Amino acid sequence: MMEPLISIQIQDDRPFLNPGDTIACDYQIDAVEASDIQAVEASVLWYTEGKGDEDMGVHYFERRVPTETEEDLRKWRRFQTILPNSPLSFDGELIQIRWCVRVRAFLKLGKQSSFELPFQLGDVESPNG
Amino acid sequence: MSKAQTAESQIMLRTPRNPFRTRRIRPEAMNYLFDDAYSCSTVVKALQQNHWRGQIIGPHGSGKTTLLQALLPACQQRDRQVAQFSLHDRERRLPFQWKDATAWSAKTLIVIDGYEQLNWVARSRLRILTQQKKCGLLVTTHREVSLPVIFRTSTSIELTQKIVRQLVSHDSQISPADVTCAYQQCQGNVRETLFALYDLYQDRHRQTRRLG
Repeated sequence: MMEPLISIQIQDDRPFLNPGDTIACDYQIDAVEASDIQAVEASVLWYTEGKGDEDMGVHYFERRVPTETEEDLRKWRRFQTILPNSPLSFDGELIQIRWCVRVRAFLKLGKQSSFELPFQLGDVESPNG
Repeated sequence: MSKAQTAESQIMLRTPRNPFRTRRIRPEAMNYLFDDAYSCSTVVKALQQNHWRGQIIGPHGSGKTTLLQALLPACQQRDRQVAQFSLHDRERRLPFQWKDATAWSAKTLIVIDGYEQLNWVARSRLRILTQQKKCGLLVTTHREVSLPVIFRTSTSIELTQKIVRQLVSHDSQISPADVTCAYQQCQGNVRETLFALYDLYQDRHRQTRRLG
């Protein structure tokens, strides 16, 4: 079984998005047979990175499984959600807060593949200058 | 370049990711590096030969938890039902109810990370209970306890250099001399060394941005 190719696009050209903005995302899965995909999950989430304990939060989540009306989960799919007020993206010395759109494909035989597209929420100046 | 790739590049340029961030260096994310004489299967075999009872012993920051994470899937493949508990600073009691032990069986492998932190009563009770239930007991500890030693973790500069090479790219601002210096300052504690290298990477990156 080949490694699926996951494409994500955020429908906005701005370098950052603001709280209250609507983020619209398109995603598609390729290079895999439709019958090999058991489920697809798309989410908009934030997570922390850095030196200490990690945290994360899921702002938007959808899970799709093959149905009579939607047998092929590979096709382009759009979803949108309104971005929250916090936490804003942050680029500190000890901690960074990152936002992303993540798509995970669950395949036969317990295989998984995922892809993340980062984006910036808010225009907070980095404390590092 | 696709729109997706452009978005990725914009955020990457602004915040290059520190190769020593928790996500990269936590035990679940790293491979335990054995020397040539050992592997996961030899250690699990030793545990099995000791009726699934044993201790992994080693100093702070020498990779006991990382090794444990590497061993557990191999134990599960050998039909062990793993129940893992991690003890943190000054946790003297096990984070479960003793009545939960009714579900333990001969196939259960109780895994305690940081066993030496348990008080004497909890350790004795656990040892007796696991013997009664005929289930396995695998622990990590800094000092020897009354279980068979199945592996001793240790550190060296060479090992630390090897770990760092796996984490950083060729163009990294961290040199082998930096690793040696951090290792010596951290008195051979590899975990603390990686934390120190996190700080050093941040410092170097900040300096580069100022100069640039």
